[in-house]
Amino acid sequence: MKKYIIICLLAIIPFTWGCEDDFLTTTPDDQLTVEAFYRNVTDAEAALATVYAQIGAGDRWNVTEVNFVVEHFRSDMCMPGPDRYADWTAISTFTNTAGNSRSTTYWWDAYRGLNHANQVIEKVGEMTDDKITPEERAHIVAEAKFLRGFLHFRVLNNWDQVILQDAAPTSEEDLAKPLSDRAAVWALVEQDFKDAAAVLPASYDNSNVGRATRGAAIGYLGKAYLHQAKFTEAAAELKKLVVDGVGSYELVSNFMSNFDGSNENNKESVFEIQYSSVRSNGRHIGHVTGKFTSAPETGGWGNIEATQNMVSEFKSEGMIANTGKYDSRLYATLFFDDADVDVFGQSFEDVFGTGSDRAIYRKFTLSDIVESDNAAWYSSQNVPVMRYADVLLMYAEALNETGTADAAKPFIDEVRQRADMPALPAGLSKDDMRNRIMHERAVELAYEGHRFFDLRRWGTSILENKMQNSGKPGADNFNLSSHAFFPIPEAETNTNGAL
Amino acid sequence: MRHIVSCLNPKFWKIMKLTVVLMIFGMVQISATTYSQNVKLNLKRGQNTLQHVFNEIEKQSTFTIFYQDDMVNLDKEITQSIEGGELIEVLDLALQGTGLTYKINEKIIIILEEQNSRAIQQDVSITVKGKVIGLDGEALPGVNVFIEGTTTGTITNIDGEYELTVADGNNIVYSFIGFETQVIAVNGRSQIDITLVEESIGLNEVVAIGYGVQKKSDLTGAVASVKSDKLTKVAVSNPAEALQGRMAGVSITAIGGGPGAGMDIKIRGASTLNDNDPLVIIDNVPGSMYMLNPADIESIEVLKDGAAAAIYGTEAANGVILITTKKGKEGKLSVDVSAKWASQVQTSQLDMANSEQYMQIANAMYDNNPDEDKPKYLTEPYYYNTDWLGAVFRNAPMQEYNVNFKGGTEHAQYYVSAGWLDQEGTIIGTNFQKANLRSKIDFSGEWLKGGINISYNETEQDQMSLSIKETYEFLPMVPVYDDSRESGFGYPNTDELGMPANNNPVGREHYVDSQYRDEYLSANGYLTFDIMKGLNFRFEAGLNNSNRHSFSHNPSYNINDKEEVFYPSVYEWRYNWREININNILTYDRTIGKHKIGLMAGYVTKKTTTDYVDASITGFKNEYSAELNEDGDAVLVTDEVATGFLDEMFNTINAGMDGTKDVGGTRTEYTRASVIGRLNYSYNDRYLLQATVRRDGSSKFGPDSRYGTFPSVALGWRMSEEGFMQDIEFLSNLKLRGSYGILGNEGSLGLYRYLPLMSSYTYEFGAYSKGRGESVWTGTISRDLENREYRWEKTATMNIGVDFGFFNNKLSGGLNYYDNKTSDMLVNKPIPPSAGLRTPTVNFGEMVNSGVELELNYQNSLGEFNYSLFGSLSTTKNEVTKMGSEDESIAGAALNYSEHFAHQTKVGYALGSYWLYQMGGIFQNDGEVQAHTNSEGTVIQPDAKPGDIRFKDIDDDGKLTPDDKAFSGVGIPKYNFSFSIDASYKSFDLSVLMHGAGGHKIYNGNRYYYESMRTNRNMFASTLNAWSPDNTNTNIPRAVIGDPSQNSRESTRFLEDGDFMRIKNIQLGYTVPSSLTQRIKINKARVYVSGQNLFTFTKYSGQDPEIGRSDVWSPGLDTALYPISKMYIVGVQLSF
Repeated sequence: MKKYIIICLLAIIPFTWGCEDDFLTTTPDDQLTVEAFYRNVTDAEAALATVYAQIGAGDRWNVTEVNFVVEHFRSDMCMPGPDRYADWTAISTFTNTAGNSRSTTYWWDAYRGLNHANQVIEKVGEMTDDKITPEERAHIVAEAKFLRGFLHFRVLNNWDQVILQDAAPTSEEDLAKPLSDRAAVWALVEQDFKDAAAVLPASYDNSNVGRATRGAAIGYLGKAYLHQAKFTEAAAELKKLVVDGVGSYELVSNFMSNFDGSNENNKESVFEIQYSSVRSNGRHIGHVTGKFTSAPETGGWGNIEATQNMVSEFKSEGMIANTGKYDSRLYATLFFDDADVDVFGQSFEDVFGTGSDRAIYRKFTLSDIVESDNAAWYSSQNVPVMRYADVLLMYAEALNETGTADAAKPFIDEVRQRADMPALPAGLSKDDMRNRIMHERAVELAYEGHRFFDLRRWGTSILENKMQNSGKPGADNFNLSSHAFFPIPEAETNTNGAL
Repeated sequence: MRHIVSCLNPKFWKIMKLTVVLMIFGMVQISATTYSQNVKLNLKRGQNTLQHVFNEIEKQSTFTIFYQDDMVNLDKEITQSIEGGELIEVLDLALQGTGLTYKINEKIIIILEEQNSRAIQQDVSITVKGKVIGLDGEALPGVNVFIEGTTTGTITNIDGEYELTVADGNNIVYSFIGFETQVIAVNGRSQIDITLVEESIGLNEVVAIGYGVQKKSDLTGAVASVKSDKLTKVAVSNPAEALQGRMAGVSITAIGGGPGAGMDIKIRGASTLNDNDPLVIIDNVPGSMYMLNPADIESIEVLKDGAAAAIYGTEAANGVILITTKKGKEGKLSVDVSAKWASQVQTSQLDMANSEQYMQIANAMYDNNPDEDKPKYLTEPYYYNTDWLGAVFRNAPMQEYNVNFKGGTEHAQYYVSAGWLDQEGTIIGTNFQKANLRSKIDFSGEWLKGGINISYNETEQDQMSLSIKETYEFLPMVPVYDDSRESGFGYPNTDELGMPANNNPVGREHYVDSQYRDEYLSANGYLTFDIMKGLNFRFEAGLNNSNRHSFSHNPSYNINDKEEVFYPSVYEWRYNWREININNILTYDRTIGKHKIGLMAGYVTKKTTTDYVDASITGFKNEYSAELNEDGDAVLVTDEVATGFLDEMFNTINAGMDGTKDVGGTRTEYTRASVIGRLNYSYNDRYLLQATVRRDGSSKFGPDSRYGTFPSVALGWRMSEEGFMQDIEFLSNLKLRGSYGILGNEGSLGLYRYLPLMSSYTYEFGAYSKGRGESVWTGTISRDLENREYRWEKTATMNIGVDFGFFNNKLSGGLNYYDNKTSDMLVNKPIPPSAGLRTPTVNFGEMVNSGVELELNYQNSLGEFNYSLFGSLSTTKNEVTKMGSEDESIAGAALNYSEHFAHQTKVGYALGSYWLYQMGGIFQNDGEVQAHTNSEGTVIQPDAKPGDIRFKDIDDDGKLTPDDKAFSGVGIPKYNFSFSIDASYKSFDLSVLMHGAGGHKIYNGNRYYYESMRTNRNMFASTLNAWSPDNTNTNIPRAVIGDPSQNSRESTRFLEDGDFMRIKNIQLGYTVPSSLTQRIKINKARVYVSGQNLFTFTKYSGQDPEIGRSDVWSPGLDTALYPISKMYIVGVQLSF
């Protein structure tokens, strides 16, 4: 008996040996490998969604507390509100360091998106015709290229020293890449927008609205040229949208409806970051910009305010609007001490106290005080990043620089008309017209994240002058060499051996 | 007859005696002269062994025979034929010519080496009576009691009692195997009770070495060992904590002082960069130390060097902890009951500013910064001065009860135990409970042995809902309770007065219920077969199954102006973890003359699976409608409406049925298979060799690199056995050891990582929104580096050691030097953000750990005062020797999001060394600011103001950049030490344990948070000492909000010496005399009082110099951890 039991037990050993390789092979039950994925157009689109997710900043807090902070707080027209966080205030007062968590996260999000975009371009590009039609493949790759251009453009706008990412890393050696020549990155940005414009449709059906269009690619190509002072090329591109009617863009009649979620993806919207109100199953594709922007007195947190320069800029033309008041955009953009200001049915004084010199942004705020007092600090309103008004002004600027002021005039007048402002006088000099455009961009696009970058591309002396005379706390600290761009994040220099 | 190798273990002797005591407890004592019994034997000459005789005697009589294994050759053939007769005659005959003799007392026969004469001298004057007990109070039967210089004597009976007739003026000698011999002068006394102390290193003690046991004298590796009596001195819920200070080279630190806190265990430093937990083996199969009841532990061995641990191959790179649990012994039922009650008190508190102090410093901060508007609350009067620490911290009780039952017959023994521990935390709302059940049954037949060992353990933890950091930084002007707030809890008035927002910690604890329960079942069984002489097969199978049930619930509440919680929610998480281990082990042991050979071969497999399901519900839902906008387009309108929760205090998923749901779940599987082999060879008990090899296969690797082979070899030389050493009288033991081995590690590599996987997202981090319906567009992408080329991480370990014993082993100890080199480290290595990927695991770099370990034991007695001393000292030197590139640098944890890194890992320095700006004093005036220049005269800090810190420009480039951070020390202690005393005098016993560490620095993160004056949250009262023109003699810079000169940058300002010594435990016990307890049928009753963490000697200004962190990149970083507490304990132990 003893012998048999032992023999049986010993027999287990060779038996288990036999199936060892099977025993040691385990695979996940709910994840595909890269090779197994990319089976059809649905997979390709799912990969593309992750690139879009990164331009939405990939996180409900980051949309506001990273993107808005990074893109607005340096401007001469924004300053911290009463509720301050050290690393936000530091950006506004130009005491920020390379470790600043806001600029670091902005950098990180952009590069995560670039990685995803490169994966889509490479992997979807390799999909064979039996898995995806050539048209679908070309379309998705073009969309990913648009997004890659968009993300590189964001990085170029904020850092002087950047790293080009034109391929997804596949080995450890690829992880640390050296700094790139800005011109090389601009070249890829232009090429990506061109490639996208050649393929993308001018519009989408109701279930796909919000994805990148041909108009968006052309608009951004024009913008990229403008940022490099390539005015001829910029004019040629933007003309397609303004004159040739690609995308059939028009200004909407209600200026405010661009920002309060009541008219999303409208005919003025060239490119708009999409957010969702769907909240089931952990979904939370939204942001907190409403609370962030609103003052505590109107139910918000009061994280940002406008400088008095912003108010002065609006008032600079005087009360010449058809309404007999100041520029109508002023009342849609700011709450400030003025009898005509309507704070959700109350006067400014009633809400903010007598004699307050504060100016509070109204764009992106919660639509009324009552709403902000309950659950709605989760905002799902879309954030327009390129409006047709911006396109008109860019086109006008390109025409003014390459031709005459009068050629630019009708497009500026078109924007002014909606704001109840009279048309510009004819026969302006090129320099006068340039100043007019600067003013127009400042007021039309206030609190939309363009101001600081516009000032810089108009010239370092303009930037330095505006920043140092902004009257905001810490303006004295502005120093062209340190603050025109952010320093490379410490998180990058700490880990990148190739820098 | 109790043979078996474990006879060599003094512990075994003791337990045997106990069971014998129990067996005949209460029986009428048989006179020593009437023990004659007849034994029938029919043994033919030349055909019988001593073993057979002993077997027969035990079978036919009620005697139990004790002997020492290596003294008695059981296989010795009996030269005479024995046919039976009286016991004495049989024994005399059997032992003839063996050099052995025997003693009989009551039911015990002890076989001893023969002495010259057994004749008893009868010229007497006094009869001395007495009792001999061990340190634990148990009676010691079988102790030799004789008159010094003679062979006249007796042995103690089953109750440890003896009676000896002596001449006054004689000395009595008490000697017993495994115990220190004692000599006592009679001095006219007729009653002499004696406590014998165990020899601390019984060289014949047997220790576990992994898939087997070995005599301590034969060990060639560095193995540290602790027995249960030491472990139970300290009141702990986690047995790991009881190991603290008991072994050189084993550093154990609590990760915070919360009830049920985890332990950071490092054996010989951090040998790898991520997973540094040693492998824990409980009764031969992997198990959880955390879930184990400390009271069930018999002994713990730690395999420190590579050669010792190599048999565990790829799981052993961080060392191996082998735990043997208590088991039953043949004999009548015995019962042990113990209970302890403790009170926990906070050791030290941070000194936060009160309202008056806060207002003073915060106003100064704003006054000094023209860029900042002063918030309204700083100019308004305040009405409260809340002690937030007082509101959150408390004194907390702990109680623990244990009972065990053990006993058995010759063929089956049992050990059954139950334990319960309830520990409240010193922070409100925290609580930990642990319940343990264990049943261990062993049975033995002629050639078959087996056993089943089942334990069920349950822990329940009420988790901290509040934030400790928020507690510290909460404004003291805010009351805990405030009737003007709807919730009844006070919180900062952010909207109107501009106070910094925080959650009221007491309110958070009130509203948020968060807890989890772990149900841990461990069931192991084994069978062993003696196939033929020396050849044995052992089959072992074990299941560990753990279920975790996490639960949290909150109603809607508002305790923070900025973070109102609008909806009730419930979250449940069910997690199962299961591990099956199967061992097939074949062993062969043979002695041929002076050659002793041991062979072991085995096949070992493991399979681990996990799965979870989670679900949550939040009390709202979206309602959609369409509206026409001004342009006439239809626009989707979404409203959020509160829903579900009939009553917000209802806390099940069903309670919120109509709300917004979230579910998730997945499964994983991990497998490994290994072949192991070991050869032990010794010649003449002097020259020792051990060689092992293990080949591991793991499912974590791709098919091409799945297997790793890990060999080791160790040599030993017992010099003291050599003839030329015999003349050195004071030397009792000397052994030289050397070993080399290669270990593997895969711990930090995640499952399936060799596969490039796609991850799907339905939420914001990877999903987007599209279309007019704002539908969620699920995203799927690969976020990991596509790397399938993982190799096993390898650690080559070298160990040289010496074990020694002097003066009859009164002084003994060991000295080890080790040098471990880890290469191809599997590291979760921070990568450049520009790569856009998740932190990948990579094979990376090389690191060396080296050090010296010394352990010393001394034990002696002065009359009835017995004492033993233990001291240990170990050093650790860590150096990273290779990284991806020569100037690569990996930062440790950031204290403030992505800034303030105190640590860097660089080639040529210890892992996670401090690289900091160097503080060079405080500028006293503008002149000093202008005078602080580099060699070219450039002012280094042109914007600094008087009162700012002067930082050194290390690279002399005229400005402060990260290149000016200089190496500033290490956070890993250079040396650890411990010292313990165990002493007894009559019925009293005392033990003291202290331990400490030194040579390292601590980065006081709390001072960065609460002394830097960056923000207007509450801070240390010490900030009142900030520099000002009227207060220049200080090392705290000026008070200025926003810190424009970055005085709070990572610098030596916050770096402090970490040296400390702590008296971990003091225990004083009293054993009630057995003459009293036995009247109520109690064998032993002991009561004790004990104090834990009572005294800490350190210059470190933070709460606790003992920093436990699981993150190896940032050793020595002190941030707001759950502080440890002092414990005052009273306990009772009873044995029946």
